[in-house]
Amino acid sequence: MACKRKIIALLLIVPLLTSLCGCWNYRLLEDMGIVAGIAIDKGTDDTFELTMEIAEAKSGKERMVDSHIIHSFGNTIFDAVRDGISIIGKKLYFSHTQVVIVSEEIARNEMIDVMDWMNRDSETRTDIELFVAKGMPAKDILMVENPSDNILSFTLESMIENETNLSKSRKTQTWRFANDLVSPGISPQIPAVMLWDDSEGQTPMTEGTALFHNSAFVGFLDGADTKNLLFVQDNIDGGLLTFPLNYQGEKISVSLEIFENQTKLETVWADSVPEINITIKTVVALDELQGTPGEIDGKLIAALEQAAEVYLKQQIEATIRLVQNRYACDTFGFGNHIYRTEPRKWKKIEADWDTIFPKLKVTVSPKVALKNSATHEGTISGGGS
Amino acid sequence: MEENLAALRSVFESDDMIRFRMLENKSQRAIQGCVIYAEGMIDHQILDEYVIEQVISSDVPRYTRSDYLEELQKKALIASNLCLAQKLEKITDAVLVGNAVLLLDGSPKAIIIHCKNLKSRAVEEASSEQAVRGPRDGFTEQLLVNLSLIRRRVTSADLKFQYRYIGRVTKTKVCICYLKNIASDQIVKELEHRLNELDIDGIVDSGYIQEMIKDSPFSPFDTIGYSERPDSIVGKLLEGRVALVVDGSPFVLTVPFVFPELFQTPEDYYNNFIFASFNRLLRIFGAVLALFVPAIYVSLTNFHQELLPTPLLLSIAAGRYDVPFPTVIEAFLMLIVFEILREAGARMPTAIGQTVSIVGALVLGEAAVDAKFIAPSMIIIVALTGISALMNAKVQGAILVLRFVFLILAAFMGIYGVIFGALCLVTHLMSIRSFGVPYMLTEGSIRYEDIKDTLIRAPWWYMRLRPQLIASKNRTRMGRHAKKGT
Repeated sequence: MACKRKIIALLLIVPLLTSLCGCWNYRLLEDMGIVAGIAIDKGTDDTFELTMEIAEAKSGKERMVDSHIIHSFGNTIFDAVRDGISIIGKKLYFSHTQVVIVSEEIARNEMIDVMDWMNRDSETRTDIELFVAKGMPAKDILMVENPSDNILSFTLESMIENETNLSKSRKTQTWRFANDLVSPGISPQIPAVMLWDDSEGQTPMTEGTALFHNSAFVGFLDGADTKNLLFVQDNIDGGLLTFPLNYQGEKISVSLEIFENQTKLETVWADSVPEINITIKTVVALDELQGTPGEIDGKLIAALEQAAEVYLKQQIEATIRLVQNRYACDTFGFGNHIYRTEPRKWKKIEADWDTIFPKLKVTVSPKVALKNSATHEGTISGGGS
Repeated sequence: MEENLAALRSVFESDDMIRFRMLENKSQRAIQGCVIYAEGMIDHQILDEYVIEQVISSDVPRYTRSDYLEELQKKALIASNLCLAQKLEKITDAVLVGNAVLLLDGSPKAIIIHCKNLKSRAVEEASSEQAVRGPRDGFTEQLLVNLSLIRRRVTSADLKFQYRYIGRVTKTKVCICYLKNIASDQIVKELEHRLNELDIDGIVDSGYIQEMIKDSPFSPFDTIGYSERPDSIVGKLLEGRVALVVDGSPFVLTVPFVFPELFQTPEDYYNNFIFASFNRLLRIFGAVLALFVPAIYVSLTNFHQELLPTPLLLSIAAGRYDVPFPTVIEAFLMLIVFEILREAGARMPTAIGQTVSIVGALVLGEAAVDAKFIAPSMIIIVALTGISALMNAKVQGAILVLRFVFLILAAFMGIYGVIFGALCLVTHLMSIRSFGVPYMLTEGSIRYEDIKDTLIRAPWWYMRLRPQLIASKNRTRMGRHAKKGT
């Protein structure tokens, strides 16, 4: 009897096992083309041109990882992706894709289509790094001779990953872009990538930000403006503040290293018209002090702090004005801040936000605290006198 | 006597090992006798000096014929262990186990002289369970030596030894051994019952009994423990377990046997508890590795490539480049090769064993990778699996079988299959019992006191109580203020 029960249980379990197990498939590692990065360009006749970097392992006495580039075309992105099979003879595998670079043209008109495929496809991850190629086809970036031995896409990925120490661009992964796209009162952004000529050829570099209005690319911010943008977004984790300082009749250049930053937005209402007050608290350390102001005393520190505050205020306000006037897209997320803190009032102005934003009054009040002067108290005085 | 002798001669017909020695008293010719013994199994000194000589030269006056036997026993025979017997079977048994039998003319009874002297191995270190720290003596093949090793450690009248004989042909002596004031009566009774039910021609090693009386006979997991170390057995007795010593086997069985015991070693209890706990966790981890590593590797590389970090994926892919077999086949081949090497190493004499391991491990492994037969990552997986399995001698067999089951599940269904298999395994482990005690602690049977000696080994002064499920009769192991110096 017990035996019969066991057999029945087994007969029930086996069909369940084979039919309810979700989505996976048996595939051999060597039959897959591991796509490391994708560049999406506009092809002729309204098609997409996909340039894919395939990571390839070569075995030998020394095992190495190499990559090669394939191109494919298609009416849709997935069409182009599937075309890739006929080119390399393997099924393309996107679970390890780390970067997607789009051209300005695609960013301007077809970003929604790209995002749809990347979010919908079961293989692509949501933490793929997005880039916009600045001033060149996206494929040029992927096809550039790789400066390091690694796969270019992975180089790009680590490049943007370490960008936090520089704050000249901000990494945007697909989930972040999609989030910003659907959240009210904030426009998405994507770091810009370009090629930089050095003595031995070209290498990719990331600097600046591509701004989007809704899903359409509207223009670039350069590296300095991006830093100011990040200050407002409270996304500063490091980077430098460099500015000239007039101290005791002497002009000196100063570099301050940012250690901590805290930005707070505050909405003030004047007759149902919002105004934004931004408080920025930055902890910095003295990193470089050109010229010879002598001993670093309280007076110099006060002067440095004040100069830094003035400099920050001026810079950030300039960037905000630039974005308001030229691009009119709320990349800063001011509207989103109102939406989150005062959702009822946001409801009233939501429809008009695109007209309110360019005229929005924004006041920046930075507060800089100098933490230390690194490993030296004074400056190295020349001449030995 | 003549009749008896004839009967014995017919029993031992065509058995040249059995010797009949005729005797006659030098002063009284009427006193005649015969000593019967099995050659090579007796102590000749005892027999010659204290028995044969006494019978030949004694001047015990002869009263009546039947009386004489007892007179002789009391006054002449200088041996500590004598007994009278009348039944033929008893007499033949006595001869067969290595005692001498003295028959006297005119007496229906025989004197059995216990002068057994079987050659046996000396007490040596237990080779199957070596410990860096702890007693060095191990059980031997002789029941009495083994029992003495246990008794000398427990000076208590509560330690009971109960003999019985199993095996229709071999009549092997076994001994149930327990502490009467601790061990559960039901478990002792159950063991006795199962031994009584046993009807087999012979017992060569305790392994026979282990397999014959175990619960869940089809389970790959042992539900009866064994040990070659007297210290380990005494530890189990003190926990309330019952031991079964079998003559001819250095492996003593213990019941009940539960899952955590698979990972315990006697050394755990002698080392610092932190170190011992670490080692025990390591053993459990090793068992898990040995069970799942090949299966998980196969499912990750064949089904769930997205779960591997990109650099690892690329390096595995680089290793797999040009390798002809799918990962599953590779895994099977290499695991089988490993098991072949292990088995060959175990069967070989030690000197050749080393050659086998060198040829196997170095030459085969290295050459297989160089020839691109096998991916280097697979060698790592197989080596890790094989070595981890050897860490736990007592689950090795179960792990070996289940590993292949998991591998097949992984080959067809990936991680999903492995998880399914693991669920089945846990269900099975949860459902089996050993002598009425659940193999694994379940939600219903778990007690705080009982988990102190499972995953880790708590300090001795903290384990004040014995396991609830085994020694419910007498749980207090030590006084309330057992720990000195606090």
